[in-house]
Amino acid sequence: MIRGEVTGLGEDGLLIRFADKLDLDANALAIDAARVIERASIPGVLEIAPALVSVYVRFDPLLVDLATLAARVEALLPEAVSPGDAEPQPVYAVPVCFEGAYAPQLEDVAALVGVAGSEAIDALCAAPLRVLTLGFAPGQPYLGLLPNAWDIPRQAGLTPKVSPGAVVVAARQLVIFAVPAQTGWRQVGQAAFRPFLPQAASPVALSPGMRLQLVPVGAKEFAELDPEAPLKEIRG
Amino acid sequence: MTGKLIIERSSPGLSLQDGGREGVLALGLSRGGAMDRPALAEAAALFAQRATPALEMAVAGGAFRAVGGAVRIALTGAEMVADINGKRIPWWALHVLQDGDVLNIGAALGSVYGYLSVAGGFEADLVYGSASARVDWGIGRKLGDGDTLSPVAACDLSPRCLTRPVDRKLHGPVRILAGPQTRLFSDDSRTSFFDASYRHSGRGNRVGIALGDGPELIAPGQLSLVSDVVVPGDIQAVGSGAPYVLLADCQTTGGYPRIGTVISADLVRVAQMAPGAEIQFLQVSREEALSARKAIEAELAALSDGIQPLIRDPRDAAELLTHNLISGAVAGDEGDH
Repeated sequence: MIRGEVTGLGEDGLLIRFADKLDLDANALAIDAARVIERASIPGVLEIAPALVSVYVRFDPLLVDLATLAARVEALLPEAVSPGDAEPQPVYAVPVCFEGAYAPQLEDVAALVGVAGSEAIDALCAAPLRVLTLGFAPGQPYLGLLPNAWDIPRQAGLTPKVSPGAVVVAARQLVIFAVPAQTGWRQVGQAAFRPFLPQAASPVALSPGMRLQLVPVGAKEFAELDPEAPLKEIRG
Repeated sequence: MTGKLIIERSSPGLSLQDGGREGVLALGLSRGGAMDRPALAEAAALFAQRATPALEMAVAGGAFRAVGGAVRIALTGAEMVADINGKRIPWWALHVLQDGDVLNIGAALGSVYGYLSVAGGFEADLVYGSASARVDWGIGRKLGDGDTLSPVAACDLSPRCLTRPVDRKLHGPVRILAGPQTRLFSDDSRTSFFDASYRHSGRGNRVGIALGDGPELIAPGQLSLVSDVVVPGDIQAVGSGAPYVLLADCQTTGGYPRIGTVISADLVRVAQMAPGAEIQFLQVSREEALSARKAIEAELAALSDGIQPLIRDPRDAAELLTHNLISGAVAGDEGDH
């Protein structure tokens, strides 16, 4: 059992951190701890947000004081479990084009990982990846963890703009961009998927803990896919 | 009949903002909302209504024409130079635009964000319960020349002003609380940060402000942190060494070390800093942060006590003297409209 470290963040926040390094068990624990704290319906708690290896709890500091809340949360933490990926969960397919202009830095990344471009694609599509957290931009998933060889740094400069659906990698993680943005991560593909659709009834498609698997598609097929369509489950 | 406002001339930094969207951090959405939340409370007091979506104006406003009827407007937040049909009007007040009148809002005087509000707020599509625009994310719309802004509610209030607008504490150090990563900074680094005076570097927007003209803020090993939740008010040590204060539209997670968090009572002051403005920081206790928070809440709750009828034109002074005596006799139902 990993013990969570509880500290205040601002006058109305509390942070529970489960690890100093990104780790799948600590991530699963953070996701489950958020669920456990949510279920406890603690008076004064306003919102709960799991991050990669931590959970943030925002509260009304004039209704509940930090020490009382921290004690309450610490008492709940043993209920949080880290099921890993053993528990059967659906896997959703994300069609990704790894060709040409859709994958401007695929070869650079393959070189950093030490494999050929085609092997890099195979590795990215080999197994389901967990939605570790949503963050930075609305609905934007951080997926992982990729094999150790994928612990590659960010690029020195910034790519001025990637479009929604851009698949970028760094530090054993893969992000599917939700909004147009600049990035220090390297783009290896383009997904026919939009993690955030502001006009939709449910604008955010994913939640932490979900499992996604990238499926390579050719440029011709990719052009015909509707990026706003919901993801399809992969039947085992 | 209630009129609407047409934007005849727009400044670049116009957007609809309310209190922001709460409870959506887990989805990767920052709360957003007005950079100066007390400005929404000021408008709410003038209209005797709850806080509603207002037009946020960064640095300057523009020209707005009332069409299809009269429109009551309130001007709050940072004071800007304003007139109706060329006749100067006071800030922190509710004014009546008659059909065809043009409201001009010029430059902010010393601060940055001014607010134009109407009865019931402006009509807007809500995303996760909020009208706050985030145009680069596809939330809300970019406002420009020719756009129409429609009040939600009708209103027949007479002109009035806030005699005691919110004290935005433009002097003295900005107070911060230590946070989970404060101890990552060396004693020397913390001392030099708190002893220093910084200035707004000129690089700033709704996401945050980069500070300059002071010592670099650097934490050792800062590139290896696993990111966690960041909140408005957090002061980050970024690679360049220029301290960066996060504001309303900041990202939800970040991996830069943070020396602390600006207390809520002082966040407006940081948000309202103009380029070049000076700033110092002071670490305070949780008790002090909470007592400042309570004081602000009390100040906002008392705003409506300071509302007075507005004397618009000195030439009408004699007539208004009589008028004032009469309205003074019925001041008891001022908040009932």
